[in-house]
Amino acid sequence: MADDTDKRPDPDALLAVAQKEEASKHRGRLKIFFGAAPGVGKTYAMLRYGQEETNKGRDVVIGIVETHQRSDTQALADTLPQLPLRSIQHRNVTLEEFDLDAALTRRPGLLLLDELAHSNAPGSRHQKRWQDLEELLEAGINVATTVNVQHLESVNEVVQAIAGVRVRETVPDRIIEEAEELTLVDISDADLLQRLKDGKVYLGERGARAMANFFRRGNLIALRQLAMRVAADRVDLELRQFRAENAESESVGLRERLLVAIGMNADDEHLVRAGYRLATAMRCPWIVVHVDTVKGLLEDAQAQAWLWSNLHLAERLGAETVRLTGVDVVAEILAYAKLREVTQVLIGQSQGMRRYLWWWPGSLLGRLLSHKRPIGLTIHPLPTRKDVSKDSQERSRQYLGMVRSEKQRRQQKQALAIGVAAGVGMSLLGLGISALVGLPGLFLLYLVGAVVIALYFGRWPSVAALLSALASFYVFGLSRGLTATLGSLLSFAVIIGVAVLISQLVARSKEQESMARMRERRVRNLYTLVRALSRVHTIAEVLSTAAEQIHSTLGITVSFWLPAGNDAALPLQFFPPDQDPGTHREALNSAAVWVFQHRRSAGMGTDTLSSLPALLLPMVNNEQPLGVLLVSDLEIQRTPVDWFRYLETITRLIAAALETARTAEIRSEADLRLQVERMQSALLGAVSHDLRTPLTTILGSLSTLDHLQDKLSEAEQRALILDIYGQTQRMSENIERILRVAALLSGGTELKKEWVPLTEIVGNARRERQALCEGRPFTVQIPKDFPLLYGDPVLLTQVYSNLLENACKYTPAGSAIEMDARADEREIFLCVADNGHGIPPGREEQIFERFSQVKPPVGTGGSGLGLALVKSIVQLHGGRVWVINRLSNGGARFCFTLPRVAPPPPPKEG
Amino acid sequence: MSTALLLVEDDQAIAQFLQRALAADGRYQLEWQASGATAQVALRQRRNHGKQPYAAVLLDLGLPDRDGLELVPWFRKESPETVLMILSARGQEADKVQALQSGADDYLTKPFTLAELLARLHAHLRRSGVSLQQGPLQVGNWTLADQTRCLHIGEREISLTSKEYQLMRVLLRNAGAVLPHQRILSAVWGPAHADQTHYLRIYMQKLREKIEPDPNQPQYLTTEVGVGYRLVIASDLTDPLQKP
Repeated sequence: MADDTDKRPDPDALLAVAQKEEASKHRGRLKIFFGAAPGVGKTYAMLRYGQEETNKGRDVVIGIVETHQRSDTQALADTLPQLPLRSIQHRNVTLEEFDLDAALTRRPGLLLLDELAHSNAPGSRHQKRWQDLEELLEAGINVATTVNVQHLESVNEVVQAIAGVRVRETVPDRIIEEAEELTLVDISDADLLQRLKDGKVYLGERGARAMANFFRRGNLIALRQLAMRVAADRVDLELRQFRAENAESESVGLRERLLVAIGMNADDEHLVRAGYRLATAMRCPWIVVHVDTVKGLLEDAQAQAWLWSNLHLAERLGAETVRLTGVDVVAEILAYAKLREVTQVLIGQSQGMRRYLWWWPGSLLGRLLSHKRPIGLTIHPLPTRKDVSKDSQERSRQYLGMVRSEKQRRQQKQALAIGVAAGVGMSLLGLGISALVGLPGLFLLYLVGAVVIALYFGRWPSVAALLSALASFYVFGLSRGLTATLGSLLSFAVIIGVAVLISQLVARSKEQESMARMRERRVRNLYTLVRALSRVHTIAEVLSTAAEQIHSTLGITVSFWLPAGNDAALPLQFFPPDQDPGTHREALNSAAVWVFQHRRSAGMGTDTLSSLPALLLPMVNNEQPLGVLLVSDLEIQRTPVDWFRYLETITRLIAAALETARTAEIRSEADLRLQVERMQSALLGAVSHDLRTPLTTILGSLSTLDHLQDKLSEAEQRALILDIYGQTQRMSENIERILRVAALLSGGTELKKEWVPLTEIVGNARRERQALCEGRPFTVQIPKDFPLLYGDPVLLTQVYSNLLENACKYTPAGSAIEMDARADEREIFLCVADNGHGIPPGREEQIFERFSQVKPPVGTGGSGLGLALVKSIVQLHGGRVWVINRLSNGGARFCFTLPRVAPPPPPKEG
Repeated sequence: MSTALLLVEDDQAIAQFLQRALAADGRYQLEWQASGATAQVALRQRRNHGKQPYAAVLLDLGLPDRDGLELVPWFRKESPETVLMILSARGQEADKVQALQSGADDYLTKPFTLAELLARLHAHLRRSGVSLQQGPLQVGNWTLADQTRCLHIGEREISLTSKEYQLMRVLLRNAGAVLPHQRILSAVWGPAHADQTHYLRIYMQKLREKIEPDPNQPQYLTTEVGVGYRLVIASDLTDPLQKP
């Protein structure tokens, strides 16, 4: 290492410190009172600390403290204000729990929260108190709490080994790491035992005897050592951090990165914990990797469950988890290790026979050892015992919601009954044919029968069939003539062996087949979903398509919450909009807000709000919450095995599609704004043109009247007055239209869309243009039962009115005007045709631009605003507009479209 | 004796034009107030002096002291029998609907012609004499029989369905006045359906098919675009000057 770099702070370390400081500005500070066992005085120490802080003027409040009727602790607690507890009714028992929401509302300067490892009563928001703690810290509330060493997740096994007690209530180690301060509350083991003798230690109501076992001197010494070690590690970490910040580091050193390779066994849990300890000791990031192989994919659901629960555990312990796919496990791991610049690899080695096969060319260990790239290798021995701890099994099953259903159990019983009946049946058949085929034939019959049953009903029904066949074989006296009973028994043993073997093979291959089929179907479903989502463009379409697809493939109904506004922020609104979450509406709505804010799933099968009868998953894209997906309970139980993960994948897909749709909607809004701006600039020109022209005539006529009144005849004067009248009306109309355009532009794009019959729109427009179109033959062709239009009636009338004005103004007087309408599935086509001279070829597009007029006849004088207005109104409605010259009669045919929308509910008669 | 009208309008030119024109017509006597406050005083004073209330109030919305829209409910409450007609340069349909909803009888957008004003006034003053009791409803040569649900227009007899009858009844009772969509919907379908404008549109279409000579170009059941409907019975709403 070069000299000049020695005393400089490590930039990465500085950055980490800066980030931590940034985060802790908002995050609450955590102080932990840490002890080796119950009774060492943690609660008392915490309360003392609270009292001191109160004296310093801090707002200290007790969230929950268990004094266990110890007078000195109780007296201390009474000096501090306490938040009221929350009562939870559970199976006729009223439980009192810490009230998280009250604490969040109260926002004390320091909150005292006893017994961090506590499990909350069912019905609480979180399963564990440490989750409450995390939410408090996230909300910026400072907390002091107490923890015993045996509750730490990473030392869980060690404690089990020391004390022989499996501690179920655990706290993730990161809580300890994230704490600002860790205070070790320590008394000697002799003192603690004395306190126990004096009855000063509360052991809980039920497990008093078990706990008494726990309090053996040997245990206590070991636990005390463990607690001190954890505290010492923590101090060591602080020292290193201090040195890194203050450039006291001896050497910068190489960045380590640990990779832990896990398989699909329950035992890999130990590997994950070992990885955690190793990574903590090396202070390096760690990755837990699993390689999915074809063989792995065909493993049964239990193995899948273990894998997922172990990956979940790894995540909780702070690892990054990765699932790779490949044929060659070792190659995949090595490639990934190279990619991520991994320096250390941790693998497990089982203690069975296979450990002697490390030199075998295909073994993981052998190939890692012979790898060219220098990589640190740690081998962790895995326990040999096959009995997986019951609760880890339970946990993984719960995690995947794969508890066997009532129906499956019933089917299994039925299959066994069928097996027994079939066995008897075979013997009956044997009675009939034994004379013909003899004993060997009879045994062959049994064998075939057993295989057939194995094929259709599985292993155990097949065994049941053979056993019942064996029994009936003797009952029916088929064994007569058999020289030795021993011989027949032997034959049966062989048949049973063969049948079991075959049924095993059949069952395995059936399982594999169904697994493979399920996976294939699942991939195909995902593919269909992606394809369906890629075809839709609006947020509403994305959501309804997703709900439809999930319903048709998984058979479950999902609904959503989305931010009500355009920006991804609260409040949320439910989708589909005409429904709500149904029962538990309030609870679900507030859970949705929590999920949205914290971007974590909640409800059934998760750690948060697990008593809710539904599952809520956050839809997140690029760290940004876009909404919440809801699956309600009945449906969860119907879903296939690893639905949770599958739903997560689907949710991610939907989130991505949502983001795309949102961006597109924002963009189309921007396009619309651009169009509006372009129109605005043209409007000014229109105003001057449209108003000045008639004003000129009015002014001229009036001055003529004023100056030349004597020289004008009565009739001439009357004509001038009518001129003024006409021009004034024209000006008035122009103003009306300009105002309409201005409103359209300034009011943004808000259309007042309503359901309206086309006939009414056409009628309105004709009435508006009655005077102008006087004396023209009209044909109006609107099919009977024509669908209602969905649009702004005022603006649609304007469209027709302008088209009629055009048709009447620019065609010879008395020529016919034709209006017609038709509709297909997607659009409604509306046309106005005249019998004039048509549009000069090549100008069909141009005439929709502002101030564009085709050969204005003398005396008509329009501004050219009319068709431009038509175009913008139609475009605002999502339609198109065009003009063509008619081939047969001559003249022009103006057409526009409106998107066809599903019709509204019809009115009620009576 | 001429009928007393009150004009509340801050623009002197318009006020003068109307006073001259109505004086020339001879049937009406127009009083003019230039602000909302003075108009309120004038209305109260007239009542306190025991005189007949104004037959109609012509109210401009852009008053110097306050928004005319706020005055509409006040006038309606103070003098329920007076015809309240809005004159305003605000052409927005939302303003019209709001004024009509809060109790105005009609709405004329500036600019308007004298003929238009006179025709509307005439129609409203005639209507204010129509009785509101149950029983057959008669306006002009239109009669609506409540037993048979039959509408007679002169010699023609048209039978109506139950909803059509209810709708017709509301329209006939307010013949000549603009009825906003919401008001008709609440009266016929109930307040819960006040936003289902398509109900109304579909039924108006049905009525037109039964009543109008050309349903595509209605002359009786006319649409006030973006606002509501108006039943026009006599030909007193046509503007004589518009026909060359």
